[in-house]
Amino acid sequence: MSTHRRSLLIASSLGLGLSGLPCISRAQSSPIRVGLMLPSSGTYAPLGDAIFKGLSLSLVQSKGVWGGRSVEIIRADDESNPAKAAELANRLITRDRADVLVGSVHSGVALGMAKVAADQNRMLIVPNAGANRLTGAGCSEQVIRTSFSNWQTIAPLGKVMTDRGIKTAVFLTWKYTAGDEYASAFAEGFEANGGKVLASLSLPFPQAEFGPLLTRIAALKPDAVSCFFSGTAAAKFLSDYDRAGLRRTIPLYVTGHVTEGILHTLKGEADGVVSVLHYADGLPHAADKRFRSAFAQQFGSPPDVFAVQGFDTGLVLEKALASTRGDLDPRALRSVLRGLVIDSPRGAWRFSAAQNPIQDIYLREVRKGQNQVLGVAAKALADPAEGCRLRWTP
Amino acid sequence: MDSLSLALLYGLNALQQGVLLFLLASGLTLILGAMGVINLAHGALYMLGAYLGYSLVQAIGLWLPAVLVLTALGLLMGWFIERSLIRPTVGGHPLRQVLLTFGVVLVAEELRAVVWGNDVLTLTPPQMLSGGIPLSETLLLPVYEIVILVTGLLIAFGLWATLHFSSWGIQLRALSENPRLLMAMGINPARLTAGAFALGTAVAMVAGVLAAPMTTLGPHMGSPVLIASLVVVILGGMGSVVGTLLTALVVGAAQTLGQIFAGDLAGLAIYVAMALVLALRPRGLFA
Amino acid sequence: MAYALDLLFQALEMGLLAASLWLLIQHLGLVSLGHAAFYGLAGYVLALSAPHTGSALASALLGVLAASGFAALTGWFVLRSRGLAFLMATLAFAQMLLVLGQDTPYFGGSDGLYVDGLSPLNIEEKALSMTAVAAAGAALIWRIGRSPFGFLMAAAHQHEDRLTSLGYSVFQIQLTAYVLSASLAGAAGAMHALRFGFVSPSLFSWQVSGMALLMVLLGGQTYFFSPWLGALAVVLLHELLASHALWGDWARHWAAGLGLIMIILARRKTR
Repeated sequence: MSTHRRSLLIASSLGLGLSGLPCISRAQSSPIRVGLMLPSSGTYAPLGDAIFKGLSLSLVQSKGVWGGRSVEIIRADDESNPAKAAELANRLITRDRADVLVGSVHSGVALGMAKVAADQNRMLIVPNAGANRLTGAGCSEQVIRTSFSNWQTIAPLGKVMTDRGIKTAVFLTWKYTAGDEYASAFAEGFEANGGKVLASLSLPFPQAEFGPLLTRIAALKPDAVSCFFSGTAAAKFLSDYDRAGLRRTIPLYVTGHVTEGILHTLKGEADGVVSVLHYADGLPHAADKRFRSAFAQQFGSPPDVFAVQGFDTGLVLEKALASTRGDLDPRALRSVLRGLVIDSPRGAWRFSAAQNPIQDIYLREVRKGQNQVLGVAAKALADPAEGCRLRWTP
Repeated sequence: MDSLSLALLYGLNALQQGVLLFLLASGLTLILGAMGVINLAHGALYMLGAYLGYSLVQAIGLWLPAVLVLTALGLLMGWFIERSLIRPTVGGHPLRQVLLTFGVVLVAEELRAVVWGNDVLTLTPPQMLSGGIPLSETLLLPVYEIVILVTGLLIAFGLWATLHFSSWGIQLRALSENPRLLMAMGINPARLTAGAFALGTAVAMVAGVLAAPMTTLGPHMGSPVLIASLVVVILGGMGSVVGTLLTALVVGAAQTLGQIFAGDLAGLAIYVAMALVLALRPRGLFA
Repeated sequence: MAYALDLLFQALEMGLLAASLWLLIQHLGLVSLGHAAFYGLAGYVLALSAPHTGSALASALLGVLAASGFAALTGWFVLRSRGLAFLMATLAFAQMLLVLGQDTPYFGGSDGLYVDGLSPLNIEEKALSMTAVAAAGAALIWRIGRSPFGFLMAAAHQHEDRLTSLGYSVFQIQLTAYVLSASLAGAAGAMHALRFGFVSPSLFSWQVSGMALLMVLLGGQTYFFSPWLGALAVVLLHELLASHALWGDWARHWAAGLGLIMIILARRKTR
């Protein structure tokens, strides 16, 4: 074998040895190792960043301790790529010895993590991914969600629209699991209230060339347009919609994800857009005021719903682990979940039997670069958890 | 909106997509046609062009000088890559070229990550061109799309004219047909190929920045562009500017119409067509 | 320890894919950039059929069959070309499957599919089956190399005209080899699907095919088990380059290191 190849093999065998070296760990007695999988690249990177900030703030406030044990976070970038999810999650558990998993933003990634969590019997806390399946047909004791289900954040929209006299609509989204769920939940909510969906359009994820679809919308002339996009692409959509002259003639009624975290990159192109979400700007809760000032002080910028979800993840883990005295076994954790009331910036919420939040959904409108709360679109809304067989044991 | 305006609008969408596709593929057809080099890094060069263009526009503030600087950078980079990386692999096993250019893609992606980060960026068109022409009560046609169309056609004409009327261009075409004769005439093929690669790279990079306002800048944005360009080049015939343009227009139209009407299976048509063309006319439709 | 085993399994599986490519390159000089098509197709067929067969073996065999079938079909088109055109034709078919998997609802969309309906394998079962399949693949390749068919392939590569004048169909020989190669790639794909319990359209990407080519290059062309050496080298190289202990935060950019190595190796004129 030629010299260069021999030295290559020797060098790479070193790699195997080195990967066994322990990561830098604090000298504490049995710290909790949290395997945190969030996107640090791609269109969802800002969301991952916000979640991390929220979680960090919660940890700072609980002095880095949950249930009497110190907390260590091991991060991985999932690049919003479902193909790598299972592999990365596995690596967090087998190589990095994570005791609990937290993640992710993209539903496909979270589904992969859920499978690994169930196989390896580790707890998974989902701080964003809204796939209905996670606490629906695919629910398990090992999966907790602290954010929302896709269904929850669009179903109330139908009644809001029909109450304002809107009879026809076009829906627009990406062609993947989350997009499909939003499309069907929207249709369900809108048509149950007498509306008619003229067309449900989609483009491949994560493309952002909206031109031909905007043309199609103009041709169909609906009373309103609804959609689901997220991250930077959502900002581009709002901007393109405005630039094509549609904002003034065909109003937008969307799920709040479209206007979250990106308004500061726009110059008024989204003004007047109405949305529903489990969080908003200007909420009257004391917990929210405390959270906002602490967040601004720590990070120098206002928080968004993703930061809240990250923060609540920390709250849930802190409270649950206090009750189980540091025990991370999924069964032990489930036994305390039922009684937990989370005093969240979004308002108080509790867990459903499927381990998803039961929470208020707010009606909001974009005004001066903020998602201003107008009222409550649905109170204490629980996701139907279709296909889930988990029940609270009486 | 009456059906005439609608048809016009769809037609413009299709035309613009086709011209954009041509811009992307034209760089590749030069390189493949003249040198027989498989350049998997084409998509990565497009991406670098988009990002470099983004930074140049931010720094200079004006588009035209930014694009000119980018063109110069592209020519330089292309020349450098050809001389130091590609030339040693010409004439060798094609496996080497595949791996070399694949390696370039990997390096380019990480370079992008280090310099520009992993966020998705948006580039707005120049202020002057960001208006719209009203086509109906509800829809405006963005001026920028028309500009892309015109620019693309101009570049197409420029390339075609260069290849057919300049001595450099004629020599380049001769190179792909009969290299020995060319060398016997005392012309150094190395200079020609270096120039072809430089030009191909520059066009790919400029296409990147021109297309940027239509879409977003993000990780792995070059991959679909690479595949689309390869398809167009194979269908249109390697080295033929006219063939590439016509094929790009047809493919662009098929893509647009597919997006609007067929949705799911539209994307397949291109590959089926490619397979057929390869089976029946391996040198392309217009070679 | 479990992690080291994971790496070994990865090397066994990718090595099989690389070996299937090696078969075509070594004996027939055909460089394919589309082997991910067979790899991914077998994985998908396994995932789609698993709930119905309930048997890992049956689904895996179905997957291999599907890969061979696809090769028989597409081989008819791609084997009409040589060199560059052949490369791009194989790429086109892999891309076609990628678009099918990603943009149509029939195969689970861009989020991929889970392999449901099979009981999860424990460590011993995994180790046994992975090694068995890899060994079988290696043995097959070794045997082919020494068989009359192996001679035919070499002849088809080096003395095409003479072989034709003797009455043999070069096309038939190439097609047979192509289908054989595809079935081995399919076996690797089935292994992947069983190991991860998940398949997604990215299995069809040209980057997967490109990685397999890298393994072939690194392993060398000397022995029938060289592709596995190449696969092991790439897997270990990845661990080395992605080690936070060595590179700190720069480990995130391990792919650049891999790319540089590829560029350097490809430039050398030793081959």
